[in-house]
Amino acid sequence: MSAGHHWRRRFHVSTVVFFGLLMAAPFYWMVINSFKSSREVVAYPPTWWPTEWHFENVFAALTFLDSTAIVNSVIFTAVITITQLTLVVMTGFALAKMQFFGRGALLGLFIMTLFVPGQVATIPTFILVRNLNWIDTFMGLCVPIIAQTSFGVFIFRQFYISMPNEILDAAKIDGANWGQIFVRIVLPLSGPPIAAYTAVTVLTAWNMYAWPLISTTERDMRVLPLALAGLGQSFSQTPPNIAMMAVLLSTLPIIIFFILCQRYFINGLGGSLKE
Amino acid sequence: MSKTDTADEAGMSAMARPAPRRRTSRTDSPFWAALFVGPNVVLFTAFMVIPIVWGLALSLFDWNLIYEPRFVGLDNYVALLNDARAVNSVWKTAYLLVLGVVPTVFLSFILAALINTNFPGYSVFRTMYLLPIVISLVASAVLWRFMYDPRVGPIAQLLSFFGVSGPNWLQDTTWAMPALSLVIVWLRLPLGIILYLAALQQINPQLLEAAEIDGAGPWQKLRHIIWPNVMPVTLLILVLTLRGIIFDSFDIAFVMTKGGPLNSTDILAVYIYDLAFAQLRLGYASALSTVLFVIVTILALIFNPPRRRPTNGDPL
Repeated sequence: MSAGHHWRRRFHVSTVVFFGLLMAAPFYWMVINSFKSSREVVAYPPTWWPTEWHFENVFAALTFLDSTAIVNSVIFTAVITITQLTLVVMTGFALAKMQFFGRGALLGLFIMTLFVPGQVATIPTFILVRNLNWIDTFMGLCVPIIAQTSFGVFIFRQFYISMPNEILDAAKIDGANWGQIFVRIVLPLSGPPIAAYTAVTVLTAWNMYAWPLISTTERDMRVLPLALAGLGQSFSQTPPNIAMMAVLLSTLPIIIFFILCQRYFINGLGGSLKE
Repeated sequence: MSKTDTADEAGMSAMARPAPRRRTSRTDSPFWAALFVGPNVVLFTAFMVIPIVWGLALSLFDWNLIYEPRFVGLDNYVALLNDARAVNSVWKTAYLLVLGVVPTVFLSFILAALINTNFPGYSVFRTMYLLPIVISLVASAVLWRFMYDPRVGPIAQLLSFFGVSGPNWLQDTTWAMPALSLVIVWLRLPLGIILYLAALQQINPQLLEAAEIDGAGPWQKLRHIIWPNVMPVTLLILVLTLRGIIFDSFDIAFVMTKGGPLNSTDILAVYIYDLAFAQLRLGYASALSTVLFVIVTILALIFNPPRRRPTNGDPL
């Protein structure tokens, strides 16, 4: 057993390492090139390690991204995550535990829209936002995205369905109303799904491109993906080292967030298993 | 434990129990229900339900935002059939789906089976497999544009090491779509790996040990124990990847190639955007997005027919 097993094990581990490095290779390429000089980054043949590290590229990339886009992205992500989370937790709970008229129909409505591609609603949403004079405003940017609650409602309803009724009944006998029950009993028990949903929503909002592209025209309203998108066509305006640094800087907050909260990401995305 | 059982029970008990207990039964005041679901329902109706219905209705009109909308019936749909670019975009979307979905499902299974293990430093490598999840579609489009660079990109460099002279990936009508799909597969692998890993970890390890004692090698274990056990997840990943590619491909295609060269990557989402927001043909664009909607629904029904899930007591 031992010798063959040993070699098989070694082969297995090296395969894991090899494919891991392959998956991470584009990130490696991004990092090393973002620190090269403008000459070295376009040199032929390309170098696999920078001969000199140019940390001043950070400032050039920040100038390119401009602080407005960074601030806009932070506001956009924060507003969407906090508001949407509040809405879906409350609706998911009500659909799981409260008895009210139209509950079944409402649930059906949320489930049905899970399968509608965004493009179907995008054009009328654009017209609506335009008629409200919300083009180039944070309202126009955020509200239609906040309204995309079907997935969250579904996830939280599934979570609260499995919460035992006895906990809630005991509080009701003590005379607590739904508001008190929700804040004092339900929310403290909802940590894991809230963390998972927050992780996934932050990621989605930070990376969102199509809706900001449609609903904003002014430079002052740009979010980071809009600022980056110009680099996708050609590197004629901005040299590749600055472009790579811009990509790195715009992704770095999420990379750090991901490494710190990997468990919640995996739970949040694995949660779609229950779909 | 079906839902109807508990509902009956609740109804029965509410009727049978004496009055004082009714306060603790599950009949709720409309006030709290309205407070909990009201804001979401208002927002969801205004910005989701109405736009969806409106979008379907808009496909029957001719409208450019300037003149009054004009009712044209099914004319938009008839025009689509004669629109070579629309027909091309349907085929390009199908092509991208095949190029994206098949490798994603296959590779995420292989990689998940591969990394369903443990060794010192393992978590570092697992993180590497999941890392593409963090990067935005736009950022990865920019990054991969550089990767694909025919002169200084690493891919061209590696190929030339093997004596192969690669094409100019994104400017080549044959290679542009496979190049885009590679980016999409790379981006979507982590989700597949996560879902497969979750399924693999639910396989009883004793089953695998028993197979090993019976002399099964890694391939037999994969073929006869692991694969049958993760089959249901495969369907789920298939549907999620299909949906994901249809939803996300716009960012990649629009940023990297804008549908070119020569419409070789002109998928539905890119053409719809062009029609609606560049040409302002809103009715016609809505008709095309309705076509997309129908395609997604058909695909979802083929691969994931609505059924009762026996493992979950809840009918949903």
